[in-house]
Amino acid sequence: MTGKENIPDANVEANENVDHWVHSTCNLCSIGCGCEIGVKDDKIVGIKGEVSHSINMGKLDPKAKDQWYANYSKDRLLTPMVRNENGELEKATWEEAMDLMVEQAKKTLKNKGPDGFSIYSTGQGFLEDFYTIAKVGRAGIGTHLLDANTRLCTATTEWCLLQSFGSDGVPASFEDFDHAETVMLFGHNPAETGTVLFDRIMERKNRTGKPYLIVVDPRETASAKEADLHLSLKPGTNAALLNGIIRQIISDGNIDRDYISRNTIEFNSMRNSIEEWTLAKTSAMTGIPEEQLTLAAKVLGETPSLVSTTLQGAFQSSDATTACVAINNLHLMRGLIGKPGCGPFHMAGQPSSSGNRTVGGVGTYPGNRNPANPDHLNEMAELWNIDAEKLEIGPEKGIMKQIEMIENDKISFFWNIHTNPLVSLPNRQRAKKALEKAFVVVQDPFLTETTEVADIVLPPAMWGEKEGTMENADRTINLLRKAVEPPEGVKSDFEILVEFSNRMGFKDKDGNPLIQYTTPEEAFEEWKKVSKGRPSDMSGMTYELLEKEKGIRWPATEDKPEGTTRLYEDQTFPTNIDYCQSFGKDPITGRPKTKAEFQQKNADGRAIFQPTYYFGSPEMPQDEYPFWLNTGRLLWHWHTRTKTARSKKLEEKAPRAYVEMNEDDAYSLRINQDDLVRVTSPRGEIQLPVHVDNRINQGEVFIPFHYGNWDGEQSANEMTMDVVDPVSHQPILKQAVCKVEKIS
Amino acid sequence: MSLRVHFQYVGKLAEELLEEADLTNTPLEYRYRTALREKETHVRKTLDLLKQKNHDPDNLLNAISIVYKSDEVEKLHFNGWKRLCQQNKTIKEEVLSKLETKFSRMKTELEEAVPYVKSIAKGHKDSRIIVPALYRD
Ligand code: SF4
Repeated sequence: MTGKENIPDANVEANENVDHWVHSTCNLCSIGCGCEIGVKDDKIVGIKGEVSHSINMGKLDPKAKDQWYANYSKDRLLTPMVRNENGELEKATWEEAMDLMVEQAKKTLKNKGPDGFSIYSTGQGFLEDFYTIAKVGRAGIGTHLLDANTRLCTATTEWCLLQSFGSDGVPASFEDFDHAETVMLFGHNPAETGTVLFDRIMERKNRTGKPYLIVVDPRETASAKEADLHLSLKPGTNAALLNGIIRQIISDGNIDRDYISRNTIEFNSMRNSIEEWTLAKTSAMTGIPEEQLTLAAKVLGETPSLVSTTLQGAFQSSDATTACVAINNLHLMRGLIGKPGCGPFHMAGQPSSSGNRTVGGVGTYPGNRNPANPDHLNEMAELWNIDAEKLEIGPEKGIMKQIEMIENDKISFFWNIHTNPLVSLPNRQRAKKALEKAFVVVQDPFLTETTEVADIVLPPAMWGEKEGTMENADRTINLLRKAVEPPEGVKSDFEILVEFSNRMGFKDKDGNPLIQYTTPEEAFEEWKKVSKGRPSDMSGMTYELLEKEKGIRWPATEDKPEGTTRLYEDQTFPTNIDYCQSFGKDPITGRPKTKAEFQQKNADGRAIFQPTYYFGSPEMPQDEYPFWLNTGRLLWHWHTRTKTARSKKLEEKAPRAYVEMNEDDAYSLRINQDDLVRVTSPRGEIQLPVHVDNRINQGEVFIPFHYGNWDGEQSANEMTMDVVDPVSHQPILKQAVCKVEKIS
Repeated sequence: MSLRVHFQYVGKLAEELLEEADLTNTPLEYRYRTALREKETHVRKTLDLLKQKNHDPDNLLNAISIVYKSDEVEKLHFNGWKRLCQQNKTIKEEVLSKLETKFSRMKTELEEAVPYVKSIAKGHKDSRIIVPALYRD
């Protein structure tokens, strides 16, 4: 970094003299930037980047600097609300709201059993909340229907790691970006999402010329503009592109045969699966000229070090897990993993979605335990002092499956914590109709599009008002100290969960309350014991150490409390049958493999090459719907804008949705800049102004997904496809078909 | 009734569905048909093993488990495919509902077979490993 790193990015209210600064972490994206919260008279008055934090070195991006305004928004909820007989939400006491919640929960358990109950949480809470969700959900309620908006965000990260390496855990770290000769951003646009990471890459590139930057994205995004090689592929062809490049690298002989034979299995099966992908065929499918493919194969085949990131352009596209697994295959066949400057880096979207996966609030059992391995469940039962029969076996059910279950009256209690699915889920009108059937509890500081279907709304404390930890995209656990007391009338997520458990009367085997910890720090101490000996071992961490070290990457054992910069430096992978987190899934159907099938592989510490068959999008442009619809983020907003829309500055920058369209398409439809158009897909239609911009290819349109109140805001998710990737069950939000018609 | 009777019926329905030609030639249809084929193969394997006097129980339970797990994922893809067909109006409702009836019937048969699976698994394996949660509820 240059000398500028000593001047932190900050936003402190003018004329305020800060009483003190409190250690914290940005609560928006998965980069996990360290920051300090300025406090005056027990009120947050500012934020500044943490200069000594190794991830951001004092930097913060625009939306991060405004994240505290929402805490003081006038429309913040300061009391629970309950839907009355007239169908309106009205204020209630905590006593009334919790009584009703517990009554309905007990009714559900009695009438439908544990799987009538679902918890749909978030990637924006704290590890201690997620761990408590896991414990209350699994050991208290007994449900395996624990999902989160991480399904829309990082489910593919988890599953591509399980398929290739046997356990979750992103192999590389942010430090590796500083050493890599080549960085490939695959469906990842950090210049407009996690800008601090992009600045870190570009600062080095401007100074040294390195890394060689490859960007894979159908649009010429702000990241693509800076690339040495921009591969602008057709929508839905990620897996085809990687198959072509990997096949070429193999036929050029640029593979590390020793590494492959020592540390991996099933290379030939992978190679056979891509045999048909000549450069000519790949070019025809992806629309990328052969010369560019040749160059990509040469660079990726010869570079001595490589970090490859993936994000929503990979995760929310068709063949999502296949494409991410192909990236793992690329690193394995070149031996570019577990070394400085090397490794696949499958990102997360939200600030702690990885943490939710790690502690079992979503997905598998806490500490990367395998839900199909009875020994792991017995271990959990012992740790939680409950009967093992209480713990349900088998992988979780994703939100789209849960919507189906609600439609079929299988789930009748839906607890929605800190997320806004009625803006973020695909085909949201269908999701709304379904949720209207269930008893819905929404935990959110504001009335949102989702509280429209809530029976109870519980107002939680916000960032800065509670203590806990978050896990970022590179396994760093960061601490967030409480800066101020929450306003009167709200409770933290942690307090709500513990109170619910106690009111439900959940007990351990000895008749003691299931949840015996009373503070987040005590919860963290319990979690440490659960994590011990597992891939995400955190037994060497303490809150004090986390603050002092400005974050520590797991595993951080008692013997090695400083943590681990990158995984697999010894080239041993967690694929031992008794240790692995999953027996894997069939790549075509997603059918979970049995233990016997996994045993036959005999991976035993070696990484697994997976076949990568290309299928493409389930929906393709046709006469009636000739355009591809792509959706994504804007620099100024985060998710469904519950927080960022409450910053005047951010809202002014991007107050409404629009549709981005190529100039030639606009011309052929006689559409001009800012004309109002109707965009229609097989699922719905919206009306919005046009931005003519040649950064998008002909035949494609782009709409930001942040918008969608029920009062006329136009939501991209009226139109998106409600189908999922077979392995990760992540919805295919980035490909749907549509038509565009001029209105005015 | 017995496991054999339920599985035979599942096998028959799966065969009937597989005999029908691809309707849309799309990824979701390919995925559900692949799962269906795998299920049909393991139904046959289960029935063969049941005929053998000294069959290996682990082998048998593994085949049964694949039947259930295939059925579960096949439903996920079939339902997704059906929705897209309805949204895009590519396949007539009557055709879809006929298919759905067969898929639902297979699930019901597998649910009804659970007590028999439990008795086979007893003493060998936790039957919850073999039969996914939503077939046991
Ligand atoms: S990059 Fe992400 S974590 Fe860092 S300041 Fe920006 S939004 Fe926050």
